[in-house]
Amino acid sequence: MDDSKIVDLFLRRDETALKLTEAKYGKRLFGLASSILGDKETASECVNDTLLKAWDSIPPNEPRKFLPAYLLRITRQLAFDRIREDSAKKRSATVTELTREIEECIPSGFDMTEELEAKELKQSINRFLDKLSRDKRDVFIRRYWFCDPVADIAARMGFRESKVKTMLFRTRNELRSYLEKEGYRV
Amino acid sequence: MNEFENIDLFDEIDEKHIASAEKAGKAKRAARLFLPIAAGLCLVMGIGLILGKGLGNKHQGAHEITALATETAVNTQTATDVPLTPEPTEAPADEADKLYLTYVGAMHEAGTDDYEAIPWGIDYYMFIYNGKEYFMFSYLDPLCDVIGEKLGTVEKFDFQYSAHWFSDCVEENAGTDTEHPPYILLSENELKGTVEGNIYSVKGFGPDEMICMRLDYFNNILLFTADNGITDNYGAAFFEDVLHMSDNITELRYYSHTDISPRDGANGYAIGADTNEVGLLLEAINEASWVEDTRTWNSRYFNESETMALQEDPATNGYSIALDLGGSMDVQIVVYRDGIITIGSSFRDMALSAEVSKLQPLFDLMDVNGGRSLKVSTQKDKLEKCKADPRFGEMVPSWYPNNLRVTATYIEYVTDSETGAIIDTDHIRIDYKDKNHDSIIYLWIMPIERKDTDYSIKCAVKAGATIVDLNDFDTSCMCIRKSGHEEDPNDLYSQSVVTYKDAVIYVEAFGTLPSTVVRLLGSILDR
Repeated sequence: MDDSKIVDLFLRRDETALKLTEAKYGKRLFGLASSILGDKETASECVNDTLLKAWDSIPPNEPRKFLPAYLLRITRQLAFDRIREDSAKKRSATVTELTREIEECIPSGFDMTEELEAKELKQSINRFLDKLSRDKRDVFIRRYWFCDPVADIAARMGFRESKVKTMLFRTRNELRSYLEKEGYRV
Repeated sequence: MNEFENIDLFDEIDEKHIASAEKAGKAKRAARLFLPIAAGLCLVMGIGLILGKGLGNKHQGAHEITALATETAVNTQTATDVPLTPEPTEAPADEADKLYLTYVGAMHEAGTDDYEAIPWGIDYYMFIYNGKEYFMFSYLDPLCDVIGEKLGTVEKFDFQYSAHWFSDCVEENAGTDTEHPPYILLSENELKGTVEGNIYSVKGFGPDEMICMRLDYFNNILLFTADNGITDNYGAAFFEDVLHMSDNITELRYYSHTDISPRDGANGYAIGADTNEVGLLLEAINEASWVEDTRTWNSRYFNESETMALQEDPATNGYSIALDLGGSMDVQIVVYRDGIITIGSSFRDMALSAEVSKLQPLFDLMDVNGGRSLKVSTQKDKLEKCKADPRFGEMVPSWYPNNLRVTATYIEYVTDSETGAIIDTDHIRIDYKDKNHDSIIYLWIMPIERKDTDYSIKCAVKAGATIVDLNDFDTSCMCIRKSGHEEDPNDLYSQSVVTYKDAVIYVEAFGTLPSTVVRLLGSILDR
């Protein structure tokens, strides 16, 4: 069913919306949650919570154009919230690895608690992504938004792992330069 | 900054980039998969096209070989031993001589963004079964007694990348003189997860003529006809060879000019099948040629304002007609005064061009509202139908507020997966609204064991439910909160869940006092 029609069902508080959303996007949400959490059971709970949150947030939101991205964003946030909540839990290797990579290209001493500052930085990152070629951007987002392992990205994109690593390395450097030009001290 | 704050920086990446990255890479794989198969099957695009004979001769310009119909086959999986997906090597040698009913998608409303390239269109279902391409031409009420033996199962399509496929094909055809790329585009909307369920034969018809599916989500039965129904020049190839219309028709129903949505239209009338007017209509249909036409609902060129203009023009205006085939089965057509007849909801860009003189007697009759006046089913009638439901009827409230009216009722059924027969009621839903939709109550009655029920309770509890004592109900809870709607943050919103016997009644109310909801629920106990 058309996403717009599913959103209409949400707006009408018709629970068919949940069934359809789960049927249509459940697998994709589960994939994202699993790769962040590394635990199928928790990932499954995370998908259920995503549906609940979507139910609670549509309306007022009306994500007609990018419903899957909207849902994936919720899943991602919930998955990281889970990890945060359970600080004793061992972090997945992927998360640890990719946070280390991100450190290379973001401003040092940056205070995320300053909402305005954080918002500006996020906007800068978006502007940077707008300028990237599609392949580069896709690879970058697969790595740092979807938290995919490099091997998975290579398989998905039909590239060698070394090419993906190189692309990521260059893109991180480009982001670093871009942010420096924007006045951040990286 | 801690490691989570690093990750949080990417929280607000643009949705279009996320969507693009999510699908990244798949199109290339899809193309690799489909191309060789497509070359093998060589399905023909364009509704009404026949290679070498029939309609094809009238529309030479549209003879184009397509690949994408093959995608449907590739992505249609079966869980049974019935092979819904023909192997490429099984394609008959004379495949190219046959007509395959598909449609030419709207292409150049495309923007630069892949997602804008998805052609619009209303629901359209098609798939391949036993090497034949079937497409939907009508839908029926779930209670219709048409379902025959089970033939197989169609699993959900998992084809999510047609938008990318589209862009690849555009690139391939760049610089050619082809106005539209020579392939059919079945849009993401049309394929992704749209068709899923068991397929059955249709009583009175052979599987080569017609098959059906029961779609529980949409609470109806879809009728599919095989591609070989329209491999000739004339309407008879479908109306007689497939539907056996002359033998089966029981009556003709028509509706006022102003309403071209036949099933729901008010001011309906019925004319017996044995009348001269209906006989002439059937003759006209059977003799009519298939032509390309843009008046069909799902035509790529369909434009509501143009259709309204046609309706307002006395030279062209048409009537919505249902040709009843008995057992509640019917075929929907629209007959225009200039002789064009459009069919059902899936004959894209294709209509019959009938002889006007044979239609005139019927127009004369319809213009004076001839025939038996049809009783219009009111929502009150539908509420009575809910009350008569053997499983949940007694849980339907006997009272509702004076300022509201019943605007919709839904009864969804549980069906036997083998026989397709209705074996139970899945749930009932009733919508109550006032004229301005300021006050709305949605009420669901569901089996207590259903997961949905847990979900509803979970919703209410999660939203901060307050237990309200509703006396004789086994358990109950109600939460009341501000709606949170930006337009009217002070609007009252409540969720209530009560269990009664073996059912759960779940109510969501907007702009309605909690005491009203309590009274509504309380009236169940009064029945």
